[in-house]
Amino acid sequence: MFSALRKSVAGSSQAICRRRMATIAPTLDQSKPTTSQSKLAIRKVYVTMSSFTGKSNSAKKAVALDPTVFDHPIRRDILHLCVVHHLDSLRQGTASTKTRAEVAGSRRKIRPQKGTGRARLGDRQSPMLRGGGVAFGPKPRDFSTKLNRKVIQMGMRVALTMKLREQRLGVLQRINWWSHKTATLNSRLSGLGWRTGTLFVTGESEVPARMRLASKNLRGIECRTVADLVVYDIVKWRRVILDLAAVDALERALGKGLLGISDSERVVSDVTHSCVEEVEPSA
Amino acid sequence: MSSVFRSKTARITLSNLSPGPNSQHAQKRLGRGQGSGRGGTSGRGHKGQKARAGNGKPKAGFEGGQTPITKRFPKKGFVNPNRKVYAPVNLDRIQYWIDQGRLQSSPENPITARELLLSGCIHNVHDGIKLLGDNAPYLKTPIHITPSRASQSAIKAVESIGGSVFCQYYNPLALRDCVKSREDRISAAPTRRTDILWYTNWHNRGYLSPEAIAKNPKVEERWKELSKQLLSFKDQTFDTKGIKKM
Repeated sequence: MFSALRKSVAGSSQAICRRRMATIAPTLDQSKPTTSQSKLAIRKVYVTMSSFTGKSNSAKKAVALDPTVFDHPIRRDILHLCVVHHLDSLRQGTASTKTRAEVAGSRRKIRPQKGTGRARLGDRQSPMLRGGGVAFGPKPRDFSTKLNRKVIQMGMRVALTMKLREQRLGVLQRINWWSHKTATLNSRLSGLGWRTGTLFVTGESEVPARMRLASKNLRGIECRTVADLVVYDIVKWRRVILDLAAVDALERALGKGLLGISDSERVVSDVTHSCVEEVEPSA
Repeated sequence: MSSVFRSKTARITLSNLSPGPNSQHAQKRLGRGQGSGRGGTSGRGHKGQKARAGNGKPKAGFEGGQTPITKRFPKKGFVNPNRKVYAPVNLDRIQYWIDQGRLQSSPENPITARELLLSGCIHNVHDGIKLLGDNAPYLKTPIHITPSRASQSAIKAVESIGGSVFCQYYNPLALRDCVKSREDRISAAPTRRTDILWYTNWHNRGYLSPEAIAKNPKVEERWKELSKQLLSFKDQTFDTKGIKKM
């Protein structure tokens, strides 16, 4: 809480703070004219805009993506941490056994200490005996762990980058479908080669109703909002299709803020530009 | 192009994720067979007090009968529950913060514990702030500050340039309200005799001294009445008739 207040207190002053920390990337000072040396070389990455109509007649468009989110260095160990953390959180943790204290039975000593020629025994619930309690058996417990918020954020960035580099990331204008009938969506997705293993992620507050109804009964297709997206989903699903609102939301949540891509800059019509490569989500 | 170059040829899936090398260490599991290296006696050797279940020693810190280290030295002193630890802040540090633009002060908005903490001049307010006068010549701008305490050299240095120092009593709740910028509660007046004598003394620039009440632009109405009542002992007369002089 105090870090946010500190920034506001420092930012309200008139004088310019000259201290710089080595771990923070330099920001562009908008007031000064930028020379070629001071400009940061941030190059956006691009992905071809997909559509439900497939390779349409109209000219191809590309979507500009923030490289801090979609061109992050790959860290497999961070993905491992995020996936394990997620799966641990799903554990029900309800395995239970009875200890010798909980097994029903009397405290009576089964046979005399001495004289029988057999081993000495106390009550019937001892773990040594058949029907006795379990020694150190499982008890209901919580398997969830803490993972640093920033590690999870980095995991998201790595996962999205990985999907883009493997040509398994797509961007649609909007994830909506014209009909609530599943058969229509089924045939179109089969035609596109997206029928199995596709995750649709929308940046809207909820998945559009017709898309939800049409896709609900399709196995291998899932629709999710960006708020419910986790690293595990991105790694698990074969293909991840975002919509423009989702790209916006992800860049806002995960981006470093050095390159704010506005709505007008998002979709690039000139696909023949050299920096844009035809990268479509493959089947 | 970054998307053309791939460092690994296999796609990353759920089946080929692994933790970073040496990030995870296998658990030491005792008594699970000879092959593990910790089977049988589970690393305890054979018999003796140390091999038994529960802690091997009679009690923690026992040294076999030799006088333990905790008993070799005498106990000393006591711990004062009224002890106060003030966070020191020197004049040169304040000047540096002002030069950087991290701190501003004016008679209407004096520097309090809140500004010092949030600007990073101090890292923890403890029981209050004490203004100290190290490197006083470095102070160039007049500052207006309300610490819990101030040293004499600091007071002299600040006032010689044209600033002001008023030492205010902050109990733990009042300090918290100051730092959190909470104004709905009244800050308590000092109740202990030593505190009353200290904060009604202009020598210390105490906020309840008559001179401070007159000079302080941020004086509260309540303080005027408090000052009058807390200093009334000075004019009190006693009925000395019948009391034998020693």
